[in-house]
Amino acid sequence: MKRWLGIMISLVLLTVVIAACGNSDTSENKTGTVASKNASDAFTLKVVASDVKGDGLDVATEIFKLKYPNAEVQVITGGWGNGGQDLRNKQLILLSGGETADVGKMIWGKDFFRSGVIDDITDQVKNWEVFERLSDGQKDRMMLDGKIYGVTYSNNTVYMFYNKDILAKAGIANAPQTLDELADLARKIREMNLQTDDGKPIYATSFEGGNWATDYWLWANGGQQMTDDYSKTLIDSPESIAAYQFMQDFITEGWAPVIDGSYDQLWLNGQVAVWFCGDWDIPATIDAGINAGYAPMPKGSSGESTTSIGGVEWAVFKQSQHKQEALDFIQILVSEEFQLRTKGLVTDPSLYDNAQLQQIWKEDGSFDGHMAQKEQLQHTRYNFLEAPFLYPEASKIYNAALEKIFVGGANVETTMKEAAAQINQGIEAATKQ
Amino acid sequence: MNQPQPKSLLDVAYFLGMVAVALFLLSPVLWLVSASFQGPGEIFKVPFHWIPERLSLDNYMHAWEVGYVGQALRNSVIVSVIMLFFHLFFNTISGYVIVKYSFEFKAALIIFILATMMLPQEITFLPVFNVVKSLGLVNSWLGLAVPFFFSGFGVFMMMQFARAIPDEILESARIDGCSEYRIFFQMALPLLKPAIAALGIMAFSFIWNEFAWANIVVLSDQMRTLPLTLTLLAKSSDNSVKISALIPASVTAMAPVMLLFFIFQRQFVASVASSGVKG
Amino acid sequence: MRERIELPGVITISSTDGLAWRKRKLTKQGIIYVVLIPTIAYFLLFFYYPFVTNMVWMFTDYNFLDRPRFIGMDNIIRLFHDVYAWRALRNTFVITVLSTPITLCISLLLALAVFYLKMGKAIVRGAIFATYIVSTIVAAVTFKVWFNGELGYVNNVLASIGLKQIPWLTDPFWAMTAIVIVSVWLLIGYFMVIFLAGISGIDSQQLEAGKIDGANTWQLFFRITLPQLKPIIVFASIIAISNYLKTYPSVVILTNGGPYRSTETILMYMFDQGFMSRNVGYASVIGIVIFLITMIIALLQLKLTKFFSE
Repeated sequence: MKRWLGIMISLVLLTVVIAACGNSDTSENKTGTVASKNASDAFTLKVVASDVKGDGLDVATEIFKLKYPNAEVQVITGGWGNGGQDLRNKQLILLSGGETADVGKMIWGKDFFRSGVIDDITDQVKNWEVFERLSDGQKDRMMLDGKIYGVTYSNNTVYMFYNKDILAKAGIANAPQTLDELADLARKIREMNLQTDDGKPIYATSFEGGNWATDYWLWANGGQQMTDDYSKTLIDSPESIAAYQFMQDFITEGWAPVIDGSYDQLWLNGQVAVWFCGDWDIPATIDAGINAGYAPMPKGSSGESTTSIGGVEWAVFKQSQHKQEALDFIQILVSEEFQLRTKGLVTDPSLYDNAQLQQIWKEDGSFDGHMAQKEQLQHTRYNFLEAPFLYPEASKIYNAALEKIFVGGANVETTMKEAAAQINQGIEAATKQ
Repeated sequence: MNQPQPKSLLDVAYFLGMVAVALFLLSPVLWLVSASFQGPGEIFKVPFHWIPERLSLDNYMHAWEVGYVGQALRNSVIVSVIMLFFHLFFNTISGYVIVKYSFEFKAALIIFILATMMLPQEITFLPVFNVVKSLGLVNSWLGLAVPFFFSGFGVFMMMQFARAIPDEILESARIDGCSEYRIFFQMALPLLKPAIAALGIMAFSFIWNEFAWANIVVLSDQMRTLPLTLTLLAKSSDNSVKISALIPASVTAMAPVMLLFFIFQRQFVASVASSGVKG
Repeated sequence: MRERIELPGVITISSTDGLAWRKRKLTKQGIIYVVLIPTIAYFLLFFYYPFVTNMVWMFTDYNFLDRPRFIGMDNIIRLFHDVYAWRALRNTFVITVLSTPITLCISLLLALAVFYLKMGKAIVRGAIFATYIVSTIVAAVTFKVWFNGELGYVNNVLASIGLKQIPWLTDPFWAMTAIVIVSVWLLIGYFMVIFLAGISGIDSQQLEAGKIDGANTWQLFFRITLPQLKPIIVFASIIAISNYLKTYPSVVILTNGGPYRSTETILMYMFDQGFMSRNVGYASVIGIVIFLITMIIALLQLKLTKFFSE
C-alpha cells in the first residue's frame, strides 16, 4: 500500500514536471545580457504590447530581422482590455517583479515618463525624418517637460459623421461647419419633429464617447481642462462652465439624448444626425446601412475645432540592455514600409496622400473618413484629465461631475466648482509628497 | 422513477409552464446566440429579430481568424482539465481526511482552511504571481491552474459531503481488515461521487470563465485562454467596444460547458437523488 | 485480540492493543500527515503568504515602480476619512442585502418546482443551470445592451405593453436595481442546483409519514422540508453573501460605478486605487477590510445558527 502512495506521488510529480517544462512559452529571463555591438549577434528583444497582429508586430519583426538576422523578438501581450488599462497593469506587474523589457507600448505615456522607468530619447528621435512631419498634437503626446520619451504611433481622432438622409429630411444641404449651424439643425429637427421609420425620435447629436466627446465641446467654446503646467484645473473657469452649459442645454432641449453608455447604438439605428466618432466605427456604420458622410469637426464659438489626439507611444525602458536595437525597432514601427504593409496603423500624416493606401480606403469605404481625419489631425491637442498624472483620482472626480451635469441635470456652475476644488486639493497634496 | 407513469394533463401543463420559466430566465443567452449570427449594425435595430434576417457567419470567421479562438479553445481545455483533476483530487482527499480522522489540531485546521473562503482571491494574485514566477510557471498551462488547486470552498464542500458517510460502514470495513486505502477508494469514493460531480461542474465552469488570474499570468498570444480572447475581441484597437466581435466568441466559449453539463447532468443528479446525501 | 459483540442493530468493537490495531493507527497517522501537510503548505503559500504580504503593504507607500516605503498608519487613517470608500461600502452592502434573500428565495422555489416536475426534468434543470455557466463578463455585456434607455430590449418590451420606459442605467436608483437583477440572475442557476441536491436528500420516509398524518403541502414544507434544509440554506447564504460582497466585473461593465459613482462597489474601488492610482498600500487596506467584513458576517451567521454546536 505504501507502494500505491509512492506511485501516485511520483505520477503527480511527473505530471507537474512535464507540464512545467513542456508548455512554457517564455524563455527564462536571462539577466545581465551584454549589449551587442555587432548587428549579427544573437539577442532577444522583449516587447510589451497589446497583441502581435493588432499592433503589426509580426510585420515589424520581419523588417527588424533584415537588419539583425540573429535577433529574436519576444512579445509579451497584455490585451486591449479596459481601454488599455490591462496592458498598463501588466507592465506594472512585470516591472514590480523585476522583469526587464526593452520596448513598451504606452497608453498613458506621461504617467510612465514621469515615473522614471522610461529612457529619455530626445537626442535620437528629434533627428528622425518623420518627426518633422508630425502635427503638434502628436508631438505633444510624446513629450514631457520638453523632452521626448516616446514615439507616437497609429494616431487617430474623432471627426464628424453625418447622416445624409436626416439632413436631407431637415432640408439642410451641407454638414454643419460651426456649432451654431449645428444648433440650427437641431432646432429644425425638433420643429419638424423628425422620426425614424419605426417612430423613434431623431437627435441632432449625441454626447456618448466619453472624454473624447467632451474635450471637443469644451475646447470649441473656449474652455480648458488644465493649466499648461498641469498644476491647476480650469474646469471651473467661466469659459469652461459656459461650454458645459452649452452641452447641457442640448440635452434639456432634447437635441441630444441623455448619456447611458449605449455608445453608438442610436447612431447605428439612424437616430442621430451628427455623430462625432473615429474610423473604428465606419465598418459598423456601413453594415447598418447608414448613408453617411464624413467631415472635419465644426468650429465652435472660439473659432476652434480642436479634438483630442488618440494613439499610443512606444518607449524604451531605462533598464533595457539593447537600447539602440529597441530604438531601431521603434523606428520601423513609424517607417513608411511598415505603415503601407499594415494599412491601418498610420502615424505619418504625409501618408494620407499615398496612392496605395488611398486605394485601399476607397475599397473598404473609409476613404472619406480618412480624408476628414487627415484634416482634423492638424487640429488636435493632448491635454486631458483622463491620463493619470499626479493625482489619478482627478479623472474620476471629473467624470462623476460630468455625469451629474449630463445625466442628472445638476447645476453646472456649482457642480464644476465643487469638482475643481476637490481636484485642486488633490493635486496640491500629491505635489507636496 | 422506473415505471412509466401516465402523464396527466396537469403534468403537461406544469411542464410547459416550467419551460416558459426556463426560457424566460435563459433569454439573455438565447439573445446572444441569435445575435452572434447577425451583423454589427443589425443587432441594435429595433425590434430585435430573434430569428436573424441575414444569417452571417462573418463574426465567427473574424473571431476565429483574428482572435485565435481555436488556439484559445485548446488552451482553455488543457488548463481546465489540469485544474479539474487536481482540484477534485486534492479537495476530496483533504475533506475526507479532515472529517473522518481524528487529530489534535482539527478545529484549528478547519478554521485555517475555511478562513481563506472569506478572502477575495483577487488580492492574492500579485504576490502569487511572484510565487508562480519563482516556480518558473509563468505563462504556462500549469501556472494558469496552480492557484486553484485547493480552495476553501472545495474543501468545505467535500467535508460536508464526507460527513454524511456513516462512520459505521467505515468501521466495519476496518474490522474486516480493509486497509485505509481500500476503504477510501472502494467505499468512500463511490459514496462521494455525487459530491465530486457537483464540485466538478462548479470548478469547471469557474476555471473555464476565469479571467483575472489568466490576465496576469499569460504573457504571450499563444497562451491566451478563452476569457482573455473575449476581451481582446471585445475592444478594437481604438478602445471602443466591439460587441459584434465579442458575441460569437462568447457563444463559442459557452458551448463546450453547456454541452458537457447537458451530457453529464443526468449522472450527477441521478446519483444525488439515489444516495440521499444530506448537505 | 478482537471481540465482536452483536446486539440487534448495533455493532460494538472493543479493540485491544493488538498488532493489527497499532499498525492501522500508524497508517492513519501517516495518511493524516501525508495528506494534510501538503494541504497546509499549499494554503500557506497561496493564501496566507499573499495575505501577510498585503498586511505588510498596508503600512507602506508602494506604487509598483519604486520600492515600498514605510509610512506607518497613514493608509489606515486615510480610510477612515475617505468618503468614497464609505460610499462604496454602502453600495456593496445594498447590493448584498438585496440580492442574497432574493436569490435564495427564487433558487429555492425553482429547486422545489423542478423537483416536483414529472416530465422534462433534465431539460428544464439544465436550462436554468445554463444561466450560471455563462461567464459574468458576457452576461454583463448582454444585460448592458438590454438595459439601454432607448434601444434596450427591456424598455422595448415595457413600451409594447404600455408601460413607461425606465432610465435603467442613468438613474442611481434604477441602476442599482439593474445591478441587483443581474447579480441575482447570475447565481440562481448555481443555488438551484445546490438546493436540489439538498431537497433530494430529504428523508422521504418522514414526508410519507407526514402525509399519512394528514398534513397538507404547506405544513409538510415548513415542518419537515425546511428544517432539514437549514444547514444547506446556511451554507448557501454564506456563499451568497461572500460572493455579493465581492461584486466587481458586473458593475464595471454595467455602469462603471456610475451614474456619478452611485453604484461603485468596494472591490472596484480597491482595484482603482491599486492599479489606476498606483496606491498599492491603500488598496491593501481596503482588501483586508473586505476580508474582515466577510469573515465577521460569516462567523455571525454560523454562530446564530449554532453551527459549531453540532
